Amino acid sequence: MHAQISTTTYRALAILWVLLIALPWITPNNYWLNLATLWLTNVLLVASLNLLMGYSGQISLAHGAFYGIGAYVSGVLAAKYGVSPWIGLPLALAATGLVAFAVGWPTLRLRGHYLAMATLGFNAIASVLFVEWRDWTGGPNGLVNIPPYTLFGVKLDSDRAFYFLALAAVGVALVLLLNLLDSRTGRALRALSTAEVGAECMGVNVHRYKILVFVVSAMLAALAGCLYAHHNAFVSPESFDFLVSTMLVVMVALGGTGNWWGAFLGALIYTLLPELLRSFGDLELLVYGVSLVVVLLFFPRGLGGALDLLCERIASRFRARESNIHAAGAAANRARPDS
Amino acid sequence: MIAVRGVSVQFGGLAALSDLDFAVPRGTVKAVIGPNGAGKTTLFNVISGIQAPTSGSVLLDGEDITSRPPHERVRRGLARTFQNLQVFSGMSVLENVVVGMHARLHAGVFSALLRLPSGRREEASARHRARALLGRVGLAGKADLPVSALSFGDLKIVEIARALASEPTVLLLDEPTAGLPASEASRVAEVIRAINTEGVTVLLVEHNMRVVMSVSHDILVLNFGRRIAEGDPASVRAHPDVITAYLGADIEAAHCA
Repeated sequence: MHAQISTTTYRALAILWVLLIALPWITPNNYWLNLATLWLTNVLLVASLNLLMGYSGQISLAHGAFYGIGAYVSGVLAAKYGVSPWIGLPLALAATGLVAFAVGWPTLRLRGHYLAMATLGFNAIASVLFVEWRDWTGGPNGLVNIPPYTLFGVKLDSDRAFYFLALAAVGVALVLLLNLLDSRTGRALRALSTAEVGAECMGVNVHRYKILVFVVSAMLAALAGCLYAHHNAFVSPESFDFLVSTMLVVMVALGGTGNWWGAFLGALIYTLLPELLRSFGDLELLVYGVSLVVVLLFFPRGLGGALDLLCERIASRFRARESNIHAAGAAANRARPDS
Repeated sequence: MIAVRGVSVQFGGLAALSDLDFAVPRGTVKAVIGPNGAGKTTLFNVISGIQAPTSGSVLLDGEDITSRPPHERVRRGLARTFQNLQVFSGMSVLENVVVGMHARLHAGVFSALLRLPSGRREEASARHRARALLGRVGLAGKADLPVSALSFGDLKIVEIARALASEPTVLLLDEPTAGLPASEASRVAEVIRAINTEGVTVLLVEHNMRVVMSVSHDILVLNFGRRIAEGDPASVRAHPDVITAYLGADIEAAHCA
């Protein structure tokens, strides 16, 4: 079930962003601000995968790799060749888009498990390349000395400056994403996700749209990668391995597949849980797994779905109370004798 | 006009269709009838492009479309509905119908991403037309409901409206009245007649003989993937092979005796 995109969604997003602008003055220290920045990039990652999984019914176990290609292309260009990150950004997006196209062309004819396996295989290849192309990527030790973004000659390397950059970039990307979903293209994607044959027979070029959404989704992940690389100043292969791809799929499901706000919640958990579970040590993964099972058992539509349900309940309770008041008023009027 | 020339479909050792030849002249209604498993749905799948024929060709207005994918056939004016429904769940009734206009709308990805005014105007007029179409088939009041709230019968009618939204010249209807109460079935028959009056060529698979007899100019009878009779309703009804196929050889023998 896809939640409808409406003007309310745009408004809610605008309100959220206005509130987020105030965040740097509210957070007690930069630790929390950095977490908020990480959350924003994760929102973009999870939302990009949600576009593919939730709204288009396809699966990718390679989003970690696309995230990584974005990070490495922009990072290597800046760290090794002195290319401005602002030029690296479109180059990274284009490169990731091309790779996604090359991967998607043959694999998107596959469905379900086969598509999952094919993309998983691609992620494994990408992980090997991140390690083996040592001269560029720095190999298993990672790529160091990635310069930050600069604006009018000012380095955006303070936590606060970068937070605002991420807020702006992710905000723009999310608006573009909403625009896409609320259009002929988005409708075609939602159609093919629920009835592929029906969509094809209504004139939707299903294979073309699948490739399109795969490429767009990969490019959004690459944007998150660019932000991550130039914020962190360092990237290493394990940030983009298949475990990351798997986790992203889990976060889409946890937030609510095809639920717009689900991506925000999924990303929140993805960001906070490692921090909260740090004290559990090796148990982290176990707690992760159990909490996932519990949530999906009780809220099959994810946390976003649970939130929708809660809002509906509250709204219907208000309506009930209002109609009670009206009914009581009407009854009182009837009881009053005409004089 | 839609025509099939020497179409055969082989599933392993089973011949779903064997060397089938027929045409539906422009502006007419042809019904395809026959017992279950006669190959009617396979025929529809071949014409709409979901199933490639083992041999033979499909012609739309004289042009060979056999190798064209389904979405291109829609662009050329072919639309269909499905026996077991292919509605887009999670969308409103109205949105389902707007998907039917996909091939007639132009807004691309960049127009969508940037929310260009031209795209928004196109979108608004598409919704307006979809609402009008739903009014025509008697579902105006249900336009904004999610499709999951509709009965099977209503959904069959939504599929007709959705197919009409693609502005077809040839419309394939796969059992449009199956699962509908009698009153609804006659409403669908009326809709089919109205569509045809506007010049749309209709090919229809249908089991409800009352509907078949009342809307078709011409009937094609299939059995085991072969044509056993073709002609106007009266002659088909009287055709001995048709009686045999429907009622069994014994009855015919008894009838003759």
